[in-house]
Amino acid sequence: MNEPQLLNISETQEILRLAGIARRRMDFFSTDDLIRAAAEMNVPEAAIREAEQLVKERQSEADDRAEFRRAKILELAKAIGVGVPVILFVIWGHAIFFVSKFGSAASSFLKPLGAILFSRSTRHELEFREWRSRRFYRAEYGRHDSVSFKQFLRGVKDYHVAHHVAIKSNLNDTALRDLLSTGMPYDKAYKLLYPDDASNPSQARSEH
Amino acid sequence: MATTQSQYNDTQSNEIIRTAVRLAARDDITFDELVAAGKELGISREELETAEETRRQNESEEGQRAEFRRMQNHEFRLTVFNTCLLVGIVLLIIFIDIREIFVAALLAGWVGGGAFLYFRYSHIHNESLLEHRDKFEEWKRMKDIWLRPERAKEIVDEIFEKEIRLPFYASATERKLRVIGRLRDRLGYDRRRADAVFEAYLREHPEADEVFLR
Repeated sequence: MNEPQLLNISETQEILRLAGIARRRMDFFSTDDLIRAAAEMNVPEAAIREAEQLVKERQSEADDRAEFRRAKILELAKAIGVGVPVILFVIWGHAIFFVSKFGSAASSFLKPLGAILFSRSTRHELEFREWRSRRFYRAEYGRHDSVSFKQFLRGVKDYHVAHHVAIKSNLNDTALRDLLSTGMPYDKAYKLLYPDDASNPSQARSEH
Repeated sequence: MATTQSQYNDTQSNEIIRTAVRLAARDDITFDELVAAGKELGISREELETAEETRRQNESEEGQRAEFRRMQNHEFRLTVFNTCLLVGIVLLIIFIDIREIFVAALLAGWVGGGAFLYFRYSHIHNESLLEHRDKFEEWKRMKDIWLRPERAKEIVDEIFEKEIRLPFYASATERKLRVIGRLRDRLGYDRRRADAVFEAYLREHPEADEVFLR
């Protein structure tokens, strides 16, 4: 007969914690589970793979937007902390002469508020896209300075072409990317790196 | 590290299945079938390719323009909101501080605010302006530059693997904090996102439990 096992509090807590983790895992489905489920509905595996990619991209954008919104809420909280006392001072302190400060306080308050309430407006959409591009730049190049980021944005149209060309021709494109990130035109960068390459880069560009 | 699969919760799984069913139900014809049909009408493959390229460009350009116009509508609503809020605050200040000119200020606010909004409306919806064309181009360019999920996953895996490879030197909590710090530094995630990514990694890699959940 099995002896009942005696457990102290920390052991009990650890078992419960691990059981909780295992339980959480069971609530999730893997790609194979989805493929099996879809097969029963006569949906091909390729459709699941494509849908998976689409959902991942949408989820990534939704997560980015949520994160951007959180950043704006924090900015708004800071602006309220500074702006509300300033406005109260202007109104009840009869300090109408303080109106120039009022303008800057109002703008620092209105900007994040606008980004939260009207996130799809042109200026905030552009801000969000820039913020997202900056994340890409930071992750790929590990640089944070805004000067080289702006240069990178200027040369980015060519960067995509360079990336495709590099993949197609099996080249290590890091040097090419670095040159393009300085704002150098694609043709010039390509010729500089591969002077012996007889193929016309403009032709490669039109292929993509 | 063994290859792992992404894990999806109920909502995500349903969305994937729904999208897959929609994709599978598409009644598309392949380009080769189109070429075969075109041959019967005396249209060459090159002509069809050119036409397809033009169609794709037009469709994409038109869709993007429509999206940009929607953004401009939101932009105008934002301008209305800002104007009303600012005029309201200024009127409140005048009402409290210089009440004798309040009625005149109210009228001036109506007229001035109205004129400003009319000007903004015609400005925002004038697509021929160079400023708007530039904004549209900038938006189109930046829309394509973002960190793809598969690349983000690669970076996350790299950060975790680096941490896992290190010999034992600290408690699980300290290691978790180090990984979260790296995620924030490398990818610019905020604390909540980094925590969510950490949880997702552990869910997809049970073998990492012993390092981070000891």
